[in-house]
Amino acid sequence: MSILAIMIPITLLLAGGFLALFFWAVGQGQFEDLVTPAHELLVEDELEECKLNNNLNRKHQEE
Amino acid sequence: MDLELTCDLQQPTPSSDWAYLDSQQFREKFTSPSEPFVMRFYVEGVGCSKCLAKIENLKRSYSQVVEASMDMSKNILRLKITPQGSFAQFILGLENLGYKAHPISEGQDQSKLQSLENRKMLKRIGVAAFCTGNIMLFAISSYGGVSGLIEKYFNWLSLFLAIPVLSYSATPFYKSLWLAIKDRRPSIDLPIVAALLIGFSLSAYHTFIDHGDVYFDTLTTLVFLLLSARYFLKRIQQSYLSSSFFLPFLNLDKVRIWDEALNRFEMFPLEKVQSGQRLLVLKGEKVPVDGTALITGAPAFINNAFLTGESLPVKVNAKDSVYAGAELVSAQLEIEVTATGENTRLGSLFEKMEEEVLRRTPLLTLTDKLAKWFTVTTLTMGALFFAYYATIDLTEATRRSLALVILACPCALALATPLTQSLSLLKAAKLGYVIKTAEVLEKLRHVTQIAFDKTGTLTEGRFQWISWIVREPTNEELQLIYALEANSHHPIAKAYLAKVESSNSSSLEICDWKEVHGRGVEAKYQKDRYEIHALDEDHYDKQLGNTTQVGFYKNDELQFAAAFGDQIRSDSKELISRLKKLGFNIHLLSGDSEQPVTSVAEQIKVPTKNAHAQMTPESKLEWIKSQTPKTIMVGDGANDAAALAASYLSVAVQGSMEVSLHAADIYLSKSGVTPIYHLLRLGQDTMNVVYRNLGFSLVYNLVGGVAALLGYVNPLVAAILMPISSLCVLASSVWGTKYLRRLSTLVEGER
Repeated sequence: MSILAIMIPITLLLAGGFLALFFWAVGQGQFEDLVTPAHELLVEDELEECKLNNNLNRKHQEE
Repeated sequence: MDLELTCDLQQPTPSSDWAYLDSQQFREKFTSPSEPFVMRFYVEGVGCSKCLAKIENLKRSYSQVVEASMDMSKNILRLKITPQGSFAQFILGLENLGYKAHPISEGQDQSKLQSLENRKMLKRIGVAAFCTGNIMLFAISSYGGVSGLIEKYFNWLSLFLAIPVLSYSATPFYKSLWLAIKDRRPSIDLPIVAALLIGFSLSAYHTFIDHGDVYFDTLTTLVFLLLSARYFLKRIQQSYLSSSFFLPFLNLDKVRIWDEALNRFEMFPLEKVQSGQRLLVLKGEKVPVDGTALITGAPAFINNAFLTGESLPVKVNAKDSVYAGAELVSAQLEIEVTATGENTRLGSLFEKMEEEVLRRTPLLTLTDKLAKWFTVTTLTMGALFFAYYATIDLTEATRRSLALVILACPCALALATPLTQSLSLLKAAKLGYVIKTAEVLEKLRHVTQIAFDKTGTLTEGRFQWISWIVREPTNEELQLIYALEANSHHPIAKAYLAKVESSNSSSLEICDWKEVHGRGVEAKYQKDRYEIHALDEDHYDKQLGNTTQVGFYKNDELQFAAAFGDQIRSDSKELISRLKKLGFNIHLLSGDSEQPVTSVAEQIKVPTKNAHAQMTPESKLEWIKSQTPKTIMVGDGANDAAALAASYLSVAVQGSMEVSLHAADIYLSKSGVTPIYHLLRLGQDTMNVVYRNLGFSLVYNLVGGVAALLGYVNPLVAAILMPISSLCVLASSVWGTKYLRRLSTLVEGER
């Protein structure tokens, strides 16, 4: 069980590393707006779809 | 142009004049010196990725726009343009897409301060989570029976991990306790801090002497949970706008002042105007000051809807007073200035409103009251018991008092109530009801009387075509109507245009067009003379009730007529009957004359004695103040602002955000009045859950507290019971508000 004496400090260091990462992310403002990024992902797709729809509409009108 | 790349059909919105966005004066007020080409806007109605795509698309089509980034959690658009660029063009484009934008003043960079505060809080939570998680691992093995050297090692590790939580994460509690002590008021943070300090000292002592229980896990969990709940609530509240964002824009316009030296009217910023000067106002413009009319010839016509709610234009004769905010309907009007800025009638109304806002005493919420009582009782009991029992057995006295303090963690007060309320606020915000503070939810429960403004609240607030009389017009006649009415600013003309616009394909060549104020319009077309003016008495269709009817005349002969009126909103009648069923007392306030007000009251079934006509903004305020039952005022527009601010609770309906949010507690960004019903139910339901939670925790604390003092509960059991009771109230908050869960379906179903 004495291995714990070494293992625990190592895990704490590791976890501390993640805490540092979290601090960095907070500093970057990554937690400020939790809504928009989810939608931003789809913006390009939406734009593509718009173009498609418009082309279809135009064709439709030409006919 | 790439602009035709829009997905949905564009909503036809009136194009407003946004030119003021680019004026030097405005930019100075609404941009920060460090970023002179960045302006922020509150944008209504952005809610999906399609909306984002549209904005992105719009941005790409304007080369002058450097950045247009939308923060959907706050509905704020950050717009950056090139030094030569124009804000106005982009905002106009946005409006044409159907999104309403409101410029936001930078203030003292409040938002930056806010986000810095949020980041600090998040870091505190992060540290608390890290330490709590690790302490838990050691604590579980201790409960599992680890003993001897390893237990000692674990205890020491827990002690070290608890230090950052108490010295860094928990600082907000110390701060707010310190503030409370300075103000000499009991705070909910007092038992929390007491539990933290006593618990930590005792546990540290036990670790040193290597004997007895340690409670580091309990303490750190408490800090973590409380911090998270507070952060959650704060974020939700921040997503509402502070009312100080909005400024009335009336003062930013330029006006034409008579220049003696040049012998003509010159444009000056409004701030330069002084009493006694002569101003010129043109058709369609708003009168910027109070003044007396200088009329030599025919009378002028102005629309006072902004001030009084009366929808038809009124005649202005020489020496008549005109007030700021009125819209000029006739060609032009010269006025002699009598009052400017804050001294105008409108300005003093705004001032009165601000006074009312300040005078309002902050509501001592139920939670505050209970927290006070709770804190004092727990600590007094603990202290008295300790003082008494310490003489008998010091260790046992400490144990039992500590058990009491830990057990009596005010979870329902500190966690569950804010959680329940913020869930309701969040849901309401998603549906487009902006509720200013959580206290509003509690106040909603006490309302017994509702006062509605008529024009624009229960009615649509504008003239609309209702029906044709005699016969329907032919296609050519529709085009003639369009040609005749196109240049008129009379509300009837606007309503007529809106009706016939769709059928108008080509514009007809008319000549001799003339607008006779107080009568109508006339013109010649292919040798015939056409007129549109009020219908004669003998043709008037009385069955159509309170409508304005205008006839279409060809060479003085009536062809057909149309009826116009301010239509009652489709959902008004049902809302009133639903509210009556709930037992509310309904009143109707209006600036309109007796006849239309009673007519509306009859249609929506409000007792005639509760329909108050000819109310000026001032008398509305007096009326509200004279009411003893707790009244919720529902209104819109500048004329209601003072009454909104003075009433117990107030709701501002769509179209008046800039002004009304200053004064109102709730702003509805979607049209219709049904939300009032939902809001009242939501408030009641939310508070029911809050009361239930409070009741539960009261019983729990009473039983637990007595048991702890009698020695049946040791601190370890208390530490286990505390989170369980917290979970109970949390679960009850999340799943408890039935109405809240059903609300979106209800609202969807009504569309």
